[in-house]
This record gives sequence, C-alpha cells and structure tokens, in this order.
Amino acid sequence: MNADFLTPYLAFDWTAMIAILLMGVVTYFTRVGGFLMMRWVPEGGFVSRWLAAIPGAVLVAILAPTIWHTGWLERAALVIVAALSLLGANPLVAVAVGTASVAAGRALF
Amino acid sequence: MTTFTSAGMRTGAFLIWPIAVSGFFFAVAVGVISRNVGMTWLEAVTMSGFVFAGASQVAIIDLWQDPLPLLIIAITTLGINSRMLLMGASIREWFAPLPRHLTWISLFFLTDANWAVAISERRKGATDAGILLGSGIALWFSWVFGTGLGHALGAALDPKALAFDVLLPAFFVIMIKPIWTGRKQILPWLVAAAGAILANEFVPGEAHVVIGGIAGSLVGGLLRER
Repeated sequence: MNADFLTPYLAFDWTAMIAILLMGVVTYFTRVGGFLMMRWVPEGGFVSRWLAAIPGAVLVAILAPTIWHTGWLERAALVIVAALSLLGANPLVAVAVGTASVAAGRALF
Repeated sequence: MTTFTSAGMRTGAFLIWPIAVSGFFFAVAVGVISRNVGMTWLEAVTMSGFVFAGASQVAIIDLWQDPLPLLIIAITTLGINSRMLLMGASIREWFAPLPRHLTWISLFFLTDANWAVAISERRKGATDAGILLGSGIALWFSWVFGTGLGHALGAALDPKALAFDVLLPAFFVIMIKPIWTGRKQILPWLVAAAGAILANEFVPGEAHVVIGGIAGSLVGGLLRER
C-alpha cells in the first residue's frame, strides 16, 4: 500500500494528543473515583438506600433537561420510544422507530 | 454474591448489542463532526478509544479550536463525566469481593449504557460481574470503529437530517424501564428532574447531571423503607 494514502489518517498534532490524554485521565478518574471513595463510607441503612436510588436519579437527571429543551417533534418521538419499550419491543427497534420518526418529521415539516 | 466469568462477559456483550449497534451510528456521527472541527482521523479514533465517553467527547469537539483550551477541556470533561462517580459507587457492593485488577479493567469500560444494563441485571439477581466488562468491550469496539468510519466518510452524511441527536435521549428512555422498581421512586425522580432542569438553567456547564442525580438519590435514601 502506498504510504501517501495513509498519511492523512496518521497525521496528528501533539497539543491535540495532550488534550485527548488529559481527557482520558480525567475520565478514568471519574470511573474509579466513586468506587474508591465509597471504600470509606460505612454500609448502613441510609447509605444502601442512597446507593439504590442513584441509578434512577442519574438517568432522570440526564434526560430531564434534554426533554425540557427539545422540540415537540423530538418529545413525541421519545414518548413513542417509551411506549414501545413499555410494550416490550426490542430496544433497538424502539430507538430506531423513534429516531426515524424525527428524521421523517424533519423531512416533512 | 459475586462471580466473574467469561460466560458473564458473553452475556453482557449479548445484552448490549442493540445499544452497541445504535452506539455505532452515534459514533459515526461523532466521527463526522470531529472531522468538521479539524481533528485528524488518528486524533478522533484515539479520543474514542482512550476517553470512550460520548457526551464529553461531543462537548469537547464543540470546544475544539486553535489554540486548544486545555484547562477548560479538563474541567468540562470532569463536569460531564462526574456522573460516573455515582455509577462507580453504585457497583461497589457488587465488585468489592473481586480481585482489584478485574475492577480497574472493568471500570475503564464503564459507560452510561453498559452500567444501566449491568445494574438492571444485578437487580434481577445476577451475580456475574463480567456482564459489565463484556458489554463495555462490545460498546468500545462499536464506538471506536464507528468513529473511524464516520471520520473517513466525512461530510457525506447529514446527522441532523438523520436525527442522530435523538439517539442519545432515546437510549436513556429505554433504560428507564429496567431501572423502575415501583412508586417509591416517583418523588426522588421528580426531585432529580427538577434539580437537573434548574441546574441546567442556572449553573454553567454540565453539572446538572451531578446536581440532579445527587439531589434525587438523597431523597430516595431518606425515604423510609416500607
């Protein structure tokens, strides 16, 4: 294979790579940090209930501002996704139908 | 109880595949936009492989300029990904009995999607912690390959017309069902939603996930068991 073909793919800037390395280190810290810090938290009634409540609260906190700010077309599509999911549809089918609805809506309106 | 087997990793990879397929297309979109802001192919693929956290990557691609604001990039990444502190904490009881190296490797592959899949399996009584690593590795491959393909395809695709921006909230919607355990969650979830929306309006950056997540989960913790 001709080296000239690969050149644009393998080009990089050192500052860019430092930025990416920095992002990676910070991100790995967030991945292990919660696990490590919880070592010093004694297991108890409150802590275990709090841990159990984290998953739902984080999901809702990710979703709520998006739904708050998005358009009606997108909201309608997310309702369709939720309905399909509750009815037991395959998750990819639910996501694909929701996304395709928005794509179709944007093409039409 | 905790186990860790390759069968569990295969289970995780199998459970995550619909999300990995969707994630592939999202990664293609990320590859396309990374090219548009001037990242090279190697930079985009390295970012996906090493950072492996979509929301923060999209935010940083948005900040990508010359000269690169390294401090802002680090703080923004920390802010957006700090939600994973909570996720790491939530799997502590599951991973604590394991040899540490399995935890450090598994946590590198921790994302919103495979955490939600793994924790919902845990709720259903799963013991095999390999589910998290197996599903994470499947997501990693789809994410890195998707980014590389998207960057190479360049501007030929239109992410807005194809509604790629709806993929991410749609993922979170389908994750709600397995996490739902009953009406006791209504109040914590309302607090999480209100806290996140208010923080999103009044706190700069992406702190709303942490603020809403902490507020809602604390309310959940304070509620008395029946």
